[in-house]
Amino acid sequence: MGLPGKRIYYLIAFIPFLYIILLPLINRVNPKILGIPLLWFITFIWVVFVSICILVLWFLEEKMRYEQ
Amino acid sequence: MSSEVALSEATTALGIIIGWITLTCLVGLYCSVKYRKASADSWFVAGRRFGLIILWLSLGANIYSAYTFLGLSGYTVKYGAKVLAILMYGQLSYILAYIITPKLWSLGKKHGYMTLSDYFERRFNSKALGALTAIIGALFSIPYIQLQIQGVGYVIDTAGYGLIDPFVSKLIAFGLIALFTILGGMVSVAFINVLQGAIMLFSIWSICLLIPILHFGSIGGLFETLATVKPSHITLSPKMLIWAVSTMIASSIGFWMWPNRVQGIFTAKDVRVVKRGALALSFFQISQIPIILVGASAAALYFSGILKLKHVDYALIEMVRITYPPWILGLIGSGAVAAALSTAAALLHTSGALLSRNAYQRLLKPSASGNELVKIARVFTAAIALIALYLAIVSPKLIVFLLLTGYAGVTQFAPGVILGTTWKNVTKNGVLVGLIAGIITVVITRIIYTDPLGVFGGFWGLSINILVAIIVSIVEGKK
Repeated sequence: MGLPGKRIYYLIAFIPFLYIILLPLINRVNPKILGIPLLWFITFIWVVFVSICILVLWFLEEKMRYEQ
Repeated sequence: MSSEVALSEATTALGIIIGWITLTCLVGLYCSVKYRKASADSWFVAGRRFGLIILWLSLGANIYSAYTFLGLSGYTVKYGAKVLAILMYGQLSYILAYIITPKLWSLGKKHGYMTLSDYFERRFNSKALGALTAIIGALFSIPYIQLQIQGVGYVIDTAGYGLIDPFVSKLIAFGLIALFTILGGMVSVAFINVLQGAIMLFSIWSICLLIPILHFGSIGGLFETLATVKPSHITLSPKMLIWAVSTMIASSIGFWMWPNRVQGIFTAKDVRVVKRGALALSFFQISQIPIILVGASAAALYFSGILKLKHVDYALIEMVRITYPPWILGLIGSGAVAAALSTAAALLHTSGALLSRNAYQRLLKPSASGNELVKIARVFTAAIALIALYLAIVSPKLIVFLLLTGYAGVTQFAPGVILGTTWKNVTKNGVLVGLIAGIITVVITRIIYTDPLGVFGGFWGLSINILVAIIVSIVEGKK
């Protein structure tokens, strides 16, 4: 993987950990989304988002393997 | 409820649970007999054909346990939004697994490690360190096994509709775990775990997800009720926020320090299997959301005075009992029991093997034969199971408390693994003294005074452990 590819790879791996930093900011009830308090809604979405991030990492590696 | 009706409902629910366990054991026995005669190739071809699904269900059944079904929902009833930290650390651990565990796998492959204690023993050239990590790993597995016994006991107690004494329920739970552990050495555990994973997913995404909708009309309606009856459950207080952050950091690192999980990494066929496992499990983690929603539903009904609970950990199974007919209670009970049995058996096997191989053989009897080690492993396995049963009877604790206590302990292996793979100047004494300091800190900050200043005990231990390991290594290096 070239340097730009590596940077993107590690950036995608790092983004999920932003949740820990963002937690004090999202720790609130409003705005509610679909009637769900903000903290709960973002946490649920984030859990799905992390899985998608890992899936993207997997595809990036598979693409690289294929190219090699 | 008349005793005849209760007896009929208990027979239905318990019949389904026992029927399911019998079915999985029979399928496992059939597969082990069938594949014993088949060539390794046919096994692997089947593995390639069904690879991802088998891997997904099997790993899911291994990692997700009674805490997933009963602990998460019970914790939501007791502490509300704090449960979100538990949900998130698991998910963050899979990113770490994706990046870090391949390095661990490569080291294992290069040096022939089979267990985490092998790594400590050979990396730091110290049998004592290998034995100490084996003993610590086995000791901190006890609360994790205890929570499985408690969990199965709660399911049997509820599915018995009040006709089975809670003490007898725990004994039945212990008997089931013992049977499953013994069978584990004889039958195809992978196939059993596939079935267990399938029933767990089915019960979560069909039965559990409908509960908030059936009681409150929508998930929004659930949170509206919860905000009215227990507003403090919706967000985190400042103290809870500190706890959540410290728990997410320490436990996401500690997630891959469980001896049975490290063994799983070392024994993987190649590095892609390890990565695929992390990817598959991260999708399994999403299944915890419906269970947390059942916990929030139970909290809303509990604080409204509608739902009565013997103990908060009964929340999910009691919600199913009041919402659905007995046969559905049997199905979800099967899912919860399946989750507990597969995890407890894996932990018991690993703990017994670690103690016999890395502690008994290395320190006491290097000449021990293979047969002798198997016998010793069985004795250790039985001893650990009996201690866990004793604690489940005399000192039952909140399931998530037990889980996090186990995590706090095994997280103390992390500095040895991380520093040992990234810093060439780390010394044996640095890791040894750091580990001892970390474990003492965990005993003080988790077991004696739980989470002082609102910071998770495992985080206190990890911080002290890293600090001591680095200072001792630098001082030794200067000498």
